[in-house]
Amino acid sequence: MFDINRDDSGAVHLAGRLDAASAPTAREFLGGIDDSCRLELSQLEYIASVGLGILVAAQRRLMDEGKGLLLAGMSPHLREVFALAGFEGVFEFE
Amino acid sequence: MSSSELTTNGGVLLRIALALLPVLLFLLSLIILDTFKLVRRHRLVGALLAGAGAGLVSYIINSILINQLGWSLITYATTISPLIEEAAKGIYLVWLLRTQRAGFLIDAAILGFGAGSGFAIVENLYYLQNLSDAPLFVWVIRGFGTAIMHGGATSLFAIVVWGLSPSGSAGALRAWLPGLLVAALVHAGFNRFLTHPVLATVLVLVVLPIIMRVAYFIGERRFRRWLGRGFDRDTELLALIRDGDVRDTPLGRYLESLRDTFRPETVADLLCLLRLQAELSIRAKGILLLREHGLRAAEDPELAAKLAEVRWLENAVGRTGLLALRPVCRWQGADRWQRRFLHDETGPVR
Repeated sequence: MFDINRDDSGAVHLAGRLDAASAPTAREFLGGIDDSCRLELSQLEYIASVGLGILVAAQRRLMDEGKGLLLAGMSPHLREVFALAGFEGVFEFE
Repeated sequence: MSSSELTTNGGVLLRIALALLPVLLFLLSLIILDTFKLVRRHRLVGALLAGAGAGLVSYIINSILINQLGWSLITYATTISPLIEEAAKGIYLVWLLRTQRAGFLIDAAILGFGAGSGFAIVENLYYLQNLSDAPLFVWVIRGFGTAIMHGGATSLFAIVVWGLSPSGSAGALRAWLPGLLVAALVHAGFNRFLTHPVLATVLVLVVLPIIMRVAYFIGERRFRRWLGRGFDRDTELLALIRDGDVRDTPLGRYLESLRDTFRPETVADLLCLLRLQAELSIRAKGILLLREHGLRAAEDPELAAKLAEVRWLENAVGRTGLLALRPVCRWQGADRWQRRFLHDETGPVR
């Protein structure tokens, strides 16, 4: 089960499993973001490589316009994966 | 400088451009189409140089055999010389694939075309020197036809070898012969058609881009599958090891079973090796994921040390340990290409 929504403050919340099955939903939602925003990931149980690809694509698009994503609430494991993969220089973290 | 000299110099430059530029532009287009930028600059230069070397070696062998056999040039050009030239170019591909310097269909195809381009450049330089008065038409055919055929034939060699190699085993020996035969047949067919040079050139320019596009489509799809599945598998393994839950998994039970055969410290080394391989595997795939979007990964100052640690652990567990690890090892087949890829990342050459 995957859920993605935006709260009143503009933060985007991702919850559940972001895998191949839920990737189209995430891609469509994040594709509609056209300004810098905070992604709240504390409820995200699992993210597959396809999900990482969607985050990277969204970040690239925003970076081209001088904007970006702020990733917040990541689990220690996910944070470690991001560090190992070399994503630390690409995203901002909180 | 007189106008006739200008015309002559302009004619020479035009001949050189026609002889050398088409194949280099075709190679450039293949590099641009490589979404993940799998081929590093130094590897491509190596391919061009290896192809040039193959051209020189072929020239020597062909000169000797033509004199010895006394066959007509057309007979020789449609039988022996394609085999010799494709084998000479293919040796470099054999080495690339066997040493995991090329791990996938796309980089093998590009490096194959690079080797063929190096060969064609040397060959056309030779003819520019010896047929300097030949009409422009000859250089159009040599540049757009013969040169691109050379690149394409060696690229086909790489594609066939890669395609016929068992999954995860880059460049099985039994794939070399079919690869050589396909490349030599294409080469011989082109030489046969040279009695109709325009038709031969048009065929090359029409058919080769289609073959390369199909190869790219298949290669990229398989590469994405390897990248996605591998990344997910490695992150899951890392989570299992990190959380200490590994004992309750099939992997953990398998490692537990190794205690009956190996000393406890060796089993610990095996677990460390698995974890380190998973970490490095994530690193390699992360770099590739970012590269697809034109982004650079953050530097890892510990990368060289981690690669050295993997080598140390592999020595520590020995061949028996590595064999025991094979059912769960992260670095088999194409995955072993990652080590070479990461090693390149630590070096000064980018």
